[in-house]
Amino acid sequence: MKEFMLIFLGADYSQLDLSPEESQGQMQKWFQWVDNLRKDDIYVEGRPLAPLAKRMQGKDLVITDGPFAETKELVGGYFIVKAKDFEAAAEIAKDYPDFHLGGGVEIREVMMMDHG
Amino acid sequence: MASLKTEELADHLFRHEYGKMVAVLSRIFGFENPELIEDVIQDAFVTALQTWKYNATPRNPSAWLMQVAKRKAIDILRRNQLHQTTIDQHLALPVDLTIDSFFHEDEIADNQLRLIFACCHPALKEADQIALTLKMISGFGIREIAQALLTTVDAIKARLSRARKFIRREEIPLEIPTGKSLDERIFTVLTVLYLIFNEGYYSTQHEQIIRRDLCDEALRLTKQLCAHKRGDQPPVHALIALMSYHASRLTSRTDTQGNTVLLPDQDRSLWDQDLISQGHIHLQLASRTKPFGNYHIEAAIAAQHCLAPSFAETDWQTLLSLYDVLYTMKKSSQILLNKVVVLMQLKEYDHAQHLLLQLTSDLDQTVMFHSVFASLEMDVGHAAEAENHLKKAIQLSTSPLQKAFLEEKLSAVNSNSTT
Repeated sequence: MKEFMLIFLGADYSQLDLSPEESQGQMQKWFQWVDNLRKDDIYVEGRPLAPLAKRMQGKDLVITDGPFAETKELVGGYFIVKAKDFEAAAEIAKDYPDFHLGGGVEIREVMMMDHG
Repeated sequence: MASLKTEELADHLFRHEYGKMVAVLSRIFGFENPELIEDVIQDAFVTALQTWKYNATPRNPSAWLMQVAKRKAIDILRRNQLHQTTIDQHLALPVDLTIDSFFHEDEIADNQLRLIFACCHPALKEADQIALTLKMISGFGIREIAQALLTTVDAIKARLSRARKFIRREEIPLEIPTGKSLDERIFTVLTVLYLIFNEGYYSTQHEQIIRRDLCDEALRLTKQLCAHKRGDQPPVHALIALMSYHASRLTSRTDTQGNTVLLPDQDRSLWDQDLISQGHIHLQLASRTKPFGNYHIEAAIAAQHCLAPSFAETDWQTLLSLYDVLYTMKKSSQILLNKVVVLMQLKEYDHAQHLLLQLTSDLDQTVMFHSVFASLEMDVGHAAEAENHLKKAIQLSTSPLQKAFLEEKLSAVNSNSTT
């Protein structure tokens, strides 16, 4: 089994004007998704990222304050899941609950460091 | 490793928290600043959605949301130095401490009650009271309100803005009325809550899920009013009883295709016994002191139906006297129409027909009138007259479901009269 990182881009909830009931419904869909992944024993971990960012670059350590990307491309967080290949990882990502709200998923394989 | 149990939020948690946050924030920013209030709450929900969905629901979601709202509110106050707000007026304490006091449980309950009285202010139009209550107290979104009230998003926006302008212009205070005016003001609140309930209960155009939602919400708000010491009044208990009895029958009122099932044909085993017991308890609490008002009588009528083991075994005689009492309180043609239905069950056809003819001028343009008249004509064997009334009812009906139901009755009349 390989591990893949699903990087979530958007959705920008603050622009969507969801009602309280809709927000809660969306939350419940995420809970259900995580739950399904856990039942299949392919969920490794997942964390949200706060929007504030700083970038340090160059030999003078120039600091730029973020966020950097367009809001709709802002990384909101990630999951790490187990899958046998890219296709399987993409299959998992199909259940991402925020596609209809303008969100997207970037899939990257997490390299295994085998020093054994 | 976290537990394997699916995270689950309480039903409508966000809606209910919305109501609480509005209650607190309208004290901080003033009711006349709905944009600020809305911003703070949106921010709290967005933050929650961004983080909780990674299976990280806080142990006390309600406290968490309030905490985020509080921080954001203090930020805004500091940044904007909103000196015109109410804060200044009671501000002997530093901002943080004053704001803290608004977040105490008891204070939230008081604020919610103040807000209900403001949203149901007697000088507001009924339609505006309902929209404002659903928005500010119940936490419905504008689309959801439009859907519930069978109108457009723009119409709801217009109602909300008109109501808010009125509240600002007239400087309607956020307060809990006292003394004699408390009774009158509670009565207006109950009227609004009952209208919301009826919107769900009697509508023939909604999906079942929206109807139940409205009924549940109206019942919840009435109970919330009752839970406050100032709202713990006989008419409030009576309305809870009435809503509980009605709500107990919701499931049995539509079949799986969404068609209406009338009282005689309802499967009584589907009636919710918990709600019926709740009705009994509140009707008893309502009846500790006189005088009895129309909600008492309406609840007693609904109780009679819930107590009857079958349609045939209903105590029609008692119902007849209850409708007579009710009519002395509320001179409404609708009540007389209900009385006609009872008279038909008692086989007092002449009396029933006499009443119906009296009601013609008032109710000739309503579906119910012709539908009841058709039943009477059927009962006394006048198929042709029954047919005419059914045709009229079908012509008047605006609901496809109701039309279908009446068409079915019509074809039953036709097949009976030809055989």
